[in-house]
Amino acid sequence: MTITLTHPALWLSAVGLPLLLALLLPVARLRSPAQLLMPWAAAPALGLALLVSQEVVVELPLLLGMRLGLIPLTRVFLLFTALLWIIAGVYAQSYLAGDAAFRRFCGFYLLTMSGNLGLILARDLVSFYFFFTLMGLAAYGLVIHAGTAAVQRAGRIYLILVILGEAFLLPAMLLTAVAAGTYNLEAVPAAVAGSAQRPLIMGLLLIGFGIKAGALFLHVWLPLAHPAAPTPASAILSGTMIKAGLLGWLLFLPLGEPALPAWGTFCMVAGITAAFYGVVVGLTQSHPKSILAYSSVSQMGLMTVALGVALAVPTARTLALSAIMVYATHHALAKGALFLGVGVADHVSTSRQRLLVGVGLLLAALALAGAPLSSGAVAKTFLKDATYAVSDPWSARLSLLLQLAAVATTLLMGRFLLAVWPDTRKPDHHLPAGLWLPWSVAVALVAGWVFLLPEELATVAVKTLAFSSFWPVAVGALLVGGGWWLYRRPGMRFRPAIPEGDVLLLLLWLLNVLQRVRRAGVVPAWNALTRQADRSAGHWQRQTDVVTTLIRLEGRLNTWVVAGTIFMVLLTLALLLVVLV
Amino acid sequence: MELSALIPLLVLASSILPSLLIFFLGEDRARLRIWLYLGAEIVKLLLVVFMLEGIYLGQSYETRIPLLPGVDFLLRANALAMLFLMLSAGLWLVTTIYAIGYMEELPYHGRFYGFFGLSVTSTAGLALAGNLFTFYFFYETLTLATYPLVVHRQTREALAAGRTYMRYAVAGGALLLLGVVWLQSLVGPVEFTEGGSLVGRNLNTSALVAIFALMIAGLGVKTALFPLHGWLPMAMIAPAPVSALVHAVAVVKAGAFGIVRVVYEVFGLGLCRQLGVLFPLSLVASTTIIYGSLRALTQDDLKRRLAYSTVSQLSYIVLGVAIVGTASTIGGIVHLMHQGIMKITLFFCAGILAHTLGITRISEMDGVGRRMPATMVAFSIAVFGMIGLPPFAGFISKWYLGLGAVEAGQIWSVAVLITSTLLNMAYFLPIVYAAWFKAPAAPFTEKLPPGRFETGPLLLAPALTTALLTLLFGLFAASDFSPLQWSALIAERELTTQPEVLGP
Repeated sequence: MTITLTHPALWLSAVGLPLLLALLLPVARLRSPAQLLMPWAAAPALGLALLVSQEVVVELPLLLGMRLGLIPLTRVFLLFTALLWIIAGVYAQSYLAGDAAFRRFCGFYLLTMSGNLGLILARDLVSFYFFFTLMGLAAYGLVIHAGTAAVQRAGRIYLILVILGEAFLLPAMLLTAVAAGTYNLEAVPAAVAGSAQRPLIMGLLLIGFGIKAGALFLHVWLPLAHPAAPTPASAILSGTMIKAGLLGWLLFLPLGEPALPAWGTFCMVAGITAAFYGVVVGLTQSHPKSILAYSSVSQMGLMTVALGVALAVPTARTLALSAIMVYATHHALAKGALFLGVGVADHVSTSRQRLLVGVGLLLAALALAGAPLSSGAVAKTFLKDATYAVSDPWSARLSLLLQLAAVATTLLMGRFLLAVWPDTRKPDHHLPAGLWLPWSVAVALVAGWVFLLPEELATVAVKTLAFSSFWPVAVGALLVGGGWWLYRRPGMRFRPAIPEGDVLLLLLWLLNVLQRVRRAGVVPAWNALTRQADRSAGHWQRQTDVVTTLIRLEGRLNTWVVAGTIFMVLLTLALLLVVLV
Repeated sequence: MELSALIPLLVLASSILPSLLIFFLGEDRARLRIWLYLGAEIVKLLLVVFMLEGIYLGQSYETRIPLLPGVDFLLRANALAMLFLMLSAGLWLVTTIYAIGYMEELPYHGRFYGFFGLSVTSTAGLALAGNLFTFYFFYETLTLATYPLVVHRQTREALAAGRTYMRYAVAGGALLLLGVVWLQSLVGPVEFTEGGSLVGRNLNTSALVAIFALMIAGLGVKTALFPLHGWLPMAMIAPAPVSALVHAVAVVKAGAFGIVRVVYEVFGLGLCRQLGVLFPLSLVASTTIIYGSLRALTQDDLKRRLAYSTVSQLSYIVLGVAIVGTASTIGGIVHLMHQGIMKITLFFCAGILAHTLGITRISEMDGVGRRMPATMVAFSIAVFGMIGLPPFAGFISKWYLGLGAVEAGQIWSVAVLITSTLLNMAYFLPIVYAAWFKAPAAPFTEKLPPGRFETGPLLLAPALTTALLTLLFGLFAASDFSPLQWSALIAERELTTQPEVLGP
């Protein structure tokens, strides 16, 4: 029996199964099976990612004409996304095992999953927007799960920024739809490129998707939301959801024709700044999850550099896209493993476990830092190759900056390892299989996925044994060692701490000032105005009391119901007469 | 008289006859009253569906009764009329079921149902009106028929609200009458024609502009355009079924529907553009959209917040009308139906909360999602629809309005829509958050004896039905039976030049 991979039901199930399970959760008897199946709702999507090797599009009679399908770019994204959802879901089942609100977590987990998978599978504008919105809003429930005041604050900021992103994305979608004359995503980049309002559309897209992707200065929600969410949700947020913003950029922006050097340079500059900014602020954090959050900002910056290359140099488009695909996969798996490792490290109880967990974390951290033979090194090699396409002298500068960024990443990873290393033995802790098993799978994937791939990637992997991959990590490690030694010396007072959210705090201070101005002036004026409007209405009522008296007189006819009825009956009779005559 | 001429009359008769009978029945014949009423509604719904099919296939239904030379009582069904008629007939049924559940503790049922039926008759007459005279006639009967419903409770506030309502409505009616009479004195009897009945005639432009302004002002009272909206929040004093009917179906939609008729079927979009009246209209609409939402932000009373939200959302329809383009026409017209469904859901839920738990203020709604999950699910769905999130119905209308605005080059209208969306989120999402995520400050006061469901089933079923429709109308907007497709058909017939429209 051949299973046709183009059957619409299969594709609908990839996005619909999580929604279906979410709908079953309120039903008392079906709750446990639904919660058990929760991670595996991403299985159909994973199957599609593994089995579908050509470009496919199926049409469904939903919304304004839903088209689901896969192209090579989205296939890669779907692969690591679905994998991570499954792994994190299994992890969550153990991590939140005793949690009273686990059912609520499952509901939001499934909704967010559906949104995430759906936006990758979407091949039309409206469906992409729908799933993107679903993912963004449903993740709010994941962020505020713990319910404490700090977590609620993080959730509020997250929601505000998601809504702000919507405000930028909707006009972008509308303008793009009109420019393209169709909703098909294939037609979008060319339409944006050729539109008279290209600067406006590109600006809206960069900001709208940039909020989700954690672009510089739009990232302020990230260091608050990622630590606030429960660990498995953080893994998803950093691993797959910020990639959704990246995917939006890749699908909508005109990469290739024509050359947009101004936008390209802007993206490259913003990206490289973010790469270093994330590290600098991340080094001042003390909570491991905050460090990882800032690391995500930094890594997304590097991917933005590749995007900039694609925008500026049309001929380098394929190279840049390959670099982004490899880097995104590497980052998703590595960051996922690191986040899940934080939770695992918390539960360690014996020194043997401590050793094993430490090794796992070290592997994942080395991968992210770009140690030779790791996926990080492969990704960085691809990235470097892409930047060679940029014209001199930028090319040389970029190469150097990328190497320095690698040093910076190593520094940050070192900081992370120092923060997360399970310190003392806690015999009362227990490390259930439901935690370390999925985590081990994640670490194994991080360490080994490059070797599972076609020959080109394997040869690149061998290339990473070169010195250029080795020295940044070595320098970084030395710096970490030195920093740690300095830090531990008595009398060391320089301990900068920047609260999570960095730039946001500046903004909030500004808003506070404006708030004081408003309270002193604007609000009382507005209230007085509306009070005046209401008062005038009442005033007018009192003035026309003659009418009131008349109405009251009329009202006193307590046979008026009958009078009215008689009138209506007469009218009806008259009409009937006219009709029949 | 042939069948096609009789059917519009039968549609009207199916609601007016039971209403009149109910007046004579007396207070205590509750069951007979209810069966009579529901039976009549089913008959009406069947007739409407029959007409719908006929109109789709291109048939015509027309009843013409000459009253005076030059003044005919004309009922004519076309695609636009059927949209409104379907909305009013369908929601009448749903609201009746809700009213049966709600009204048990209020007195004067006979009076209530009688005038309820008369309001719906007037709405149907309005929908089917084929010329300005008939339209005006039913416009005024609607005012008269809804007044007793607004003052039903007969308290001081109710009577004051009724007074305000009458003042606004009668004044608006006078303005409309002036416009109608002036126009008829210029060109003779004006019948609604798809594409505009004044097209091609050489008329004094300043007179036409003045007439347009008068008509829009007269219709604008019922449409709650700024600054003629003052009566609407005050009318919230009415019982919940009345607020639901008034705010979703009868009164406010009558005004919006009237504006749609005047622009497309009296003046015609081309003539309106020539006269230059569309830009001021879109300005008024935009102002109302923003103003309504801003006022809604500061209200703690739930029904008043919903009232201001209605003020704001109705002007989406007027904005759609004022922008020249197929997409915005479709968006404005389909929003007639979508907004009706969504708003009625919200008012049903508000009524359930007031009736079961005595909750009228938003500050009292903390944690109510735990006590009344089904109601709050319906409420949340309607809220997401009002905000315009996909895949709900509100998104479809907003999307088409946005497309039309971009196509017409009016990017500032897109900004108005975005601002309105943000404001909608600002005053609706906190309610949803408080209901689901906060803990109740004190145990709820139960006003009803505990039953199998969280509240009376007759109250819950209508709310869930309309919430489901909100989802279905959005999710299956591309199907052949959706309001969107019907609106596309209307737009096709109303607009004489048709630029390319995107989508299915």
